[in-house]
Amino acid sequence: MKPNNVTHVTPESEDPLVHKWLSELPQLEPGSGFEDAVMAHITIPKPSRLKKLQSATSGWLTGRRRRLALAATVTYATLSTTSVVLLTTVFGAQTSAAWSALVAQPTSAIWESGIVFLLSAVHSMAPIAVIWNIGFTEVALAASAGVVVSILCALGLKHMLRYSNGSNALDYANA
Amino acid sequence: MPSPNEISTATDQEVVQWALEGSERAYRELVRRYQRPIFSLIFRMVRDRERAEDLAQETFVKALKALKTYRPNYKFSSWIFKIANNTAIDSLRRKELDTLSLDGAPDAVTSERQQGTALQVSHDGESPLEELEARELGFQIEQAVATLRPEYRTCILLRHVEGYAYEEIGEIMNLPLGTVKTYIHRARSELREILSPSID
Repeated sequence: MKPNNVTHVTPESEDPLVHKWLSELPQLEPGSGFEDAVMAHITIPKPSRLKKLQSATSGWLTGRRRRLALAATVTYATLSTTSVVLLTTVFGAQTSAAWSALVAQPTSAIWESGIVFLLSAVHSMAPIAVIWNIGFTEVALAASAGVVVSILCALGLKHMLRYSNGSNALDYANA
Repeated sequence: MPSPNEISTATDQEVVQWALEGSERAYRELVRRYQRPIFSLIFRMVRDRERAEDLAQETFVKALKALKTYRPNYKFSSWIFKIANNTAIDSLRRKELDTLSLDGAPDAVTSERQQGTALQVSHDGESPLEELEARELGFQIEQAVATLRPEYRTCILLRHVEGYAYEEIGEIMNLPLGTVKTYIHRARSELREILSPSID
């Protein structure tokens, strides 16, 4: 079927006489209980909780506001994961013996941090995405973007710490 | 879930969406909106009230069960009329019903069954004489429509009773545009030939 944008020439103007005759025909009604008889054959689907939530929040954000919300979410995720980088790399390595053991090798530290970033990005974005009724594809894209940006930040931070003032968290951890 | 007021003012597409989300009220609203036009079309195809009710019911059950396959950028009314037309045509092919009798179904062998299957036409707010004339006129028009070939009948009813455009009728009936135009033209000629002498 085609979309409903077809042009209309009125039936009256085409053949007024036949139209007059046929417009005399009444609309007929099925017997009482017709609606219930139909409904007896229908199984109403049970909506998932997620669908209910999405339905309740649908229409909150549309068009430009939706894109802005998505951009805000990406920014939020990036900032939150970057803060995780800072905390785990700078303070975590200094204060926690267990963490120091984990990041004993600089390369491994980056991977460990990467997992933390991923979890952080996903956990921070998923509830926001559900509440704002953003599609899962967009969530996945935004989360991936957040993770990539966070890893780049981590690499930059590592580079910066390694070559600044001769003393940094990773060297401290390696010591 | 939507309130009754929201549902009654919503578009078909919105009501379908609510139905898919599990609202029974939305399903009922779809039946309420289309039961009269669908039943009227099917009745005028098969000329048997009981059979028309069964087929209209079958139409709604098929449509509501397949609601997931409905695409909202199309008219819901065209979609459900297509299902109704296919259901009625299948039934006509199966039963090869004689479509001429207005006194009830041709297979109604008892007077009780004939009454049960006969067409009920009511005209409110008219004097007894006007009502009688209206009934007589309605009877003649129904009879004339009933003499048309089923495909002519569906085309002309969709055009002049339901107000569909030619393109939409073609989509509902799976016919090319040219064929729809031909059917409607022939149906009008036949109706004029039958009704002009008696009405004018």
